[in-house]
Amino acid sequence: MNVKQRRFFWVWLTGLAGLLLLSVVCSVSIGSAQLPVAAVWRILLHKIGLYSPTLVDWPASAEAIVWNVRLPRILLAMLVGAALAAAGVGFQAVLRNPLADPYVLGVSSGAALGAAVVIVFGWQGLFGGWMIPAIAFGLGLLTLFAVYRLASGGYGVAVETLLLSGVVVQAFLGALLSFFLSISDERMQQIIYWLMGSFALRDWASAWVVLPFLLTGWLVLYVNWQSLNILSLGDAQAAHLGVSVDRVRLAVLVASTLITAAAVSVSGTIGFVGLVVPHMMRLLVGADHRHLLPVATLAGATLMIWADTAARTVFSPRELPVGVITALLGAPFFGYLLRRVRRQGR
Amino acid sequence: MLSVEGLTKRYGEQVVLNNIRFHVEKGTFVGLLGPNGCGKSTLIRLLAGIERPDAGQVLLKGRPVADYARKELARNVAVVAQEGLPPLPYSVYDVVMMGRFAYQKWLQGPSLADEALVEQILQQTGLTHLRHKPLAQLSGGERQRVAIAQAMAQQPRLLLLDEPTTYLDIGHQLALLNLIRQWQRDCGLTVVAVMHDLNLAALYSERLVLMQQGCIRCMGELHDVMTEPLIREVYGTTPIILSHPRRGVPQVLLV
Repeated sequence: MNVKQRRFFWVWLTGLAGLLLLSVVCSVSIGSAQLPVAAVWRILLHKIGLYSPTLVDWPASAEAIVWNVRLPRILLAMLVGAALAAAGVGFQAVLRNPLADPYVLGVSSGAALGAAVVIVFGWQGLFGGWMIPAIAFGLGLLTLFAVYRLASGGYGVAVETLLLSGVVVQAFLGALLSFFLSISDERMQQIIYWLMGSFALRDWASAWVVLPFLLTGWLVLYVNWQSLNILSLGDAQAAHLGVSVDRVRLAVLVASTLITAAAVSVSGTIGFVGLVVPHMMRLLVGADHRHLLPVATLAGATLMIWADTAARTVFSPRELPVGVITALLGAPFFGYLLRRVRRQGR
Repeated sequence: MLSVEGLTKRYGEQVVLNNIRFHVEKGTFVGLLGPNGCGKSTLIRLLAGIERPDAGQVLLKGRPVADYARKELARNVAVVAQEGLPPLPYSVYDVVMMGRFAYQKWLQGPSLADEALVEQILQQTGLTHLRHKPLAQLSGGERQRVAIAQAMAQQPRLLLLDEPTTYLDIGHQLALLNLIRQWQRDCGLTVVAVMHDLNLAALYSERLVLMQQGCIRCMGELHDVMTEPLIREVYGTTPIILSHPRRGVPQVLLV
């Protein structure tokens, strides 16, 4: 990679970081109570200790809205968007499949089933109100374990076998989910709403829960950037070049699953971000994972903030689930990407 | 340099390699011949350390291949496969640089020395003008040349080729093999090449190993291996063997 490409990447990285910051500030000011952006900016700076005017020129209610209601939600959206995009990059690299998204190996099915079971049995209040996230997270991880075990045996784990194994496990878990939906009657709406994904009524705790998983998982993905690039040559050639294919694959799968499970456990199964953002960013900065991963993470975060903003303002005062927005925008955009790739010949 | 002893490999019930035993001297070009299904590709995979044998061992510079760490093995052995490299979006430069992975520490990117070496290799393989082009935009012949360049970046002692010229036209076949021979002469490289084309094998190999149904039928000098009775026995077809008018090596004429 030469100097020009390196500079190009840094331009994109700083641009996206700036856009993210702008998105946070703007979306905090948007809502049923319209707050001026300048005031929001000052409130934020004040809260983090960088700005202490002798006279505060904003009402206490504004500060409460910004800090207790909107910011936690927006930060969570940012973290979940970042998580799904990063996990999407990881899964697409390791499975060598452009249609892979964070849910392809069944994490979402496991988490959804966990949430459904908790809701059907009315256990939401347990565990300090953290029952759904805890069970969803645990079951999401268990699903990866099941898929991996099903696919392994003999000469390591081939990518095709993993994908098929994911299909099998998802089908089974999906059947169980349908079963629980069918016996839940009045709670069905709750379950379905959870499935569609939402950031409503989320406080700071949710963001704190996601953060450590996102950071650890992201670091594991990033340090393996070279192996991720080389894996695209195929398992055999990657091994010939010195990559420990099975070890890297397992590490990246576990890291990506941790990130995904953490995100899904607090916000439901929000689709398309993990699938589309890596593709979009690959068009901008190329397929080198050293560049793709940071850029996709920032883009996913930004996108999710705006999706959430749309979700809570488009039909104001009603709130749409975020998953609806991402699917409505994501699917046509993916179609556009497909056409573009096809038109470029091959 | 390379030593194989009592090598046996089974896939389920089927015995694919049966007690293979041979020795390759440093710096020689050995052609590995045999009909489809005789176990040539399996042997290459075992030599490359990608698969483990059921019995026997492969010794590289006196050490079992299984004892080498992944990256250490990659610094000693490079493999160019039949299918070549997939049409990826990575540039020629990036793909060749991937060959240096085995020399890079964890978390470290390419060093200045790595970059200088890759430039040199691109020049030697005539790929300098294509360095920024993505693989997906190259022809099959050009991609094979990139595969060789990537192998060169590994600076191996041993090069394993698994039918590297299958999908190439005769011009590209000769260009590729000439490139390998030049590399062999410059660096004292040891080459073991599986080839389908007997004539090409004779033109470039110094030794031949002829396999049949998982066993070595014959090995040694070209004239000892490429004889009418042996080829009839192994391939089931009777050729005419001539001596190449300029090079003097045996050449096979199909009847």
